Amino acid sequence: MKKGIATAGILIGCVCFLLAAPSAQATVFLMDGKLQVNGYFKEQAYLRLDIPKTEDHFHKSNFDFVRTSLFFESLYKMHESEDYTINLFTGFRYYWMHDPHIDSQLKRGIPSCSYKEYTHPRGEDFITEAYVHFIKGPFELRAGKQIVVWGETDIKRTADVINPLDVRYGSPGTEDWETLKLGLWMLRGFYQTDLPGNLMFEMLVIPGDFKYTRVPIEGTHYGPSPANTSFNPGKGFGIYEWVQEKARRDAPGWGLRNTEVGFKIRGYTWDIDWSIFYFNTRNDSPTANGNFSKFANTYVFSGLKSILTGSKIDPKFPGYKVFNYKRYEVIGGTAQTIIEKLHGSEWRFEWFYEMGNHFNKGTNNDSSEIYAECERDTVGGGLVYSDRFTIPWFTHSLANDKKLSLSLSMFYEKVLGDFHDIIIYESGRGHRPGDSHATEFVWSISQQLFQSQVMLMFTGSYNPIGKYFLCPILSYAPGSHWRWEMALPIYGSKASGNKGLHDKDSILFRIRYEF
Amino acid sequence: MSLHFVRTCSVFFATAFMGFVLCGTAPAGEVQYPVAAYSADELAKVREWEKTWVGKKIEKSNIDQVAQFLPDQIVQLYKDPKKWGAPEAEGLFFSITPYTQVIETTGVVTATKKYAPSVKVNAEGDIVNYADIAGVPFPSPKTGLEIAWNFDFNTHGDSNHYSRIGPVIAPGVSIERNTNQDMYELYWIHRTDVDPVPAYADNPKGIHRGLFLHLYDPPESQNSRFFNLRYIDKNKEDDGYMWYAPFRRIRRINVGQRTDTIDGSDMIYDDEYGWDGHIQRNTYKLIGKKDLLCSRHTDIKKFQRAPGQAAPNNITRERIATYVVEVKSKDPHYLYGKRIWYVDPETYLMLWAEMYDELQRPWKCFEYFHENFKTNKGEMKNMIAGVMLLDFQRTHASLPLHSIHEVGSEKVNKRMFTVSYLQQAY
Repeated sequence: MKKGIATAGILIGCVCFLLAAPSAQATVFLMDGKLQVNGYFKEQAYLRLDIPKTEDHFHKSNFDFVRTSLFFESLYKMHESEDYTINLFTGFRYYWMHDPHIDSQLKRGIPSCSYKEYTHPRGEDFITEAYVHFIKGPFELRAGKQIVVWGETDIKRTADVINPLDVRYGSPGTEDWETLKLGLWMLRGFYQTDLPGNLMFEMLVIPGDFKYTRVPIEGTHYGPSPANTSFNPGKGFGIYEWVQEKARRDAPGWGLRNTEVGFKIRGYTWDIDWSIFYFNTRNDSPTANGNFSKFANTYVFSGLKSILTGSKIDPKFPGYKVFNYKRYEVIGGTAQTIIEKLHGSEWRFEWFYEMGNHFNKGTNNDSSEIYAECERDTVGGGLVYSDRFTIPWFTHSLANDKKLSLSLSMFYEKVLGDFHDIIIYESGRGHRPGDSHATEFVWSISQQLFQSQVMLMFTGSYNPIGKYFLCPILSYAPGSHWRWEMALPIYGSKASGNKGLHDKDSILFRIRYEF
Repeated sequence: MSLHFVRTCSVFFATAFMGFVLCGTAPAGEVQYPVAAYSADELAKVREWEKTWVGKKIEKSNIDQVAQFLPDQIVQLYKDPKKWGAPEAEGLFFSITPYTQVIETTGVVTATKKYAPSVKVNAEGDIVNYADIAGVPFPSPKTGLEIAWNFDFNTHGDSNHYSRIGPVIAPGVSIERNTNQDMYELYWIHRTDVDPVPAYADNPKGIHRGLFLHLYDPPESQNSRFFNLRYIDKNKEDDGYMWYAPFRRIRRINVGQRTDTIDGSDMIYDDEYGWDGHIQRNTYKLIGKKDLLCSRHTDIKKFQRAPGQAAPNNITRERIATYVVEVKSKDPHYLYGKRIWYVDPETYLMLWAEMYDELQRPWKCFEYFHENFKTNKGEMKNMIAGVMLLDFQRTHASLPLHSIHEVGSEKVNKRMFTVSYLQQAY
């Protein structure tokens, strides 16, 4: 109770601070401009358009995602001279998932072991980034918790391999990368040379920090329903959570053996901005070892017992290791240019080659029949085309001469070598069960209206296996602080075994106070 | 020697000296610069007119009496303040100040005298030695194109840093959307005030000018950074790179589509400073000279404006004989049917610009506010202090105002216009 009052107090205090900000400008400058603060206060909810009958007893209402969040970013200029500059950057976030409080039946579907982690940030999750930034001439060093972006494309991650993702509360297309990426503690250095091609060298070392990909939690909006994963729905969590929780428990903690190293060179040649990189990393997603069958059976027995006796499904997590986060290497690159002869359009390309990435093998590519681990190389790439267009009459008469923006992307990847029984289709990489390759098309069309106060956007993706995502978005930002958004994310899939969020069509409501 | 003779001589020499300063009288063969807007006779008439009008508050009731000195649309604006969101009680008003000559910096004067005689123009009107010279290439322009070149050669102190803050205004609507950005400008060529002059020797990419922006508002662009490079080669499109903070990526972006509106304002990319592109992309016709009331010495801090009010009150305007140039794009599908430039004859900065649509109907009118700022060398430089952007077809306005931090700054250097500097962001 006291904790709840304290939390509410903090939130109210923050809101009062924001509303009392002296300036009409969004960004707040303090201490003679030495301290710059910005961020947002956000209320967000998903209203499911349809909830399958089988899930009825886990929902009182169609609102299955209601979140209040607060985000602060501050930049403090510790020292600024012609000789060198030292800045301190910190990002702080807090969120509160209301949906289990509003809907007690929904709360029943969320496993107790994940409940606290789902409803509030825990541990260092409060801090999104915190680093000291030292700049001296062509040298630059950043030390601390950071989010690094090495890719060029928007919705899909092709060459963007450094930080793990947190997709418990959103996915690319509905959330920005800042929200989805988990910061890592690292040292990152740059050196801008005077060599031909403006070569810039970058190196990063992540000495021990490891974070696994945070996948959606069972019973929540983005996670599977226990109605579909539990042997005895309502009597305990499903096998999905059993597997994911064990994967979390088996993840390595801090340790020098986790050290990850990356290099990147950026340059400019023949009117193309390019980069090539190398990254030696531990995979953020695990593969299962030979203990998996034994581990899965533990749950199955508990489930059967629950069905027969009506008792709660409550297996004990075994002490042996089931999941490994194995090391692999990736080389890749990016390129971008403007082609004047093609309407001055922007073109971006990125590619990767993963060496020795680990996969599981399961009979007939079935993840419930895992029998081995294997190493494979994977190659892939993405090509993005972006342009702006004037639509006769419309652009001038209705859009105040603001052009329509269009971005089309195509991604492809292939697992090289023998693909027999390799399990990849559940990884979110867009493969059909049994297919070594995956292709995906992504688009984004946006049009600003009424002097940019209103923005219409239509984003989405299509995978030839029959999986798609459609999301029209309406955004209204009348002044310098408030932003009202409504979106309609629609998901579908004809691919058995790769259904994604096919039953999660929703209306997204989002209100932001930005400062 | 009688006292009368001494007085006569004193008056004669004083008059001759004033004439030299105001009219730029110089020995035969030497370039006459600076050139004042008015000859002595013309100035005397202006001073006579000023006796009636200087200090007077001009508003709805008396705007017709000075209407000949303002663009027609602006007269209509002052006649109908309610339409443009002004509070009933205050209305819209400005005041008139005396004409004051603007003398360019020593660097501009020296460069003009040095380089103007060596300007070489080809049959197409292009300056052949464009990248090798500085100052005002045509101190006594005879054509619209020569005035356009003079405009193009103003380097705004060679390098400068200012904050641009201002609302996008739907008249009468008190909720305004603000833009706020730090802007840095650096010229690689045509340099007059900050070493090296007239150009950086090391310029392998052939850059003319760099413009760097750090955006704070609107919030969706918060902490995004952008730079634009303009090249000397008239056939080469600008290059643009952006650190887009929400995506945390460096993007090369297409800045060649110059007719897209910016951030919901009434300005397209080509409208910066009145014209922001290669001079050769337009044709220019000198209509003549016209006396207009222009904001050349305006303290923008004194502006008063209620939320939703399109034009600020307390603008000070002085009379000056502007060059009137009709500007038409060589692109037949260009957004504007034509522009009318009203160019300051002493600085070659734009004072007013009128835009017409493809049917030659009046569309927009921009007023560029100016003020003298002290350069880092201690001289005064007339700089743009803000712009009033009015869209008369849509009844809409924007008012970006400049808070100038430095003119002739050595802190604005070539390194700022690199990708590595761009990503020193958060």
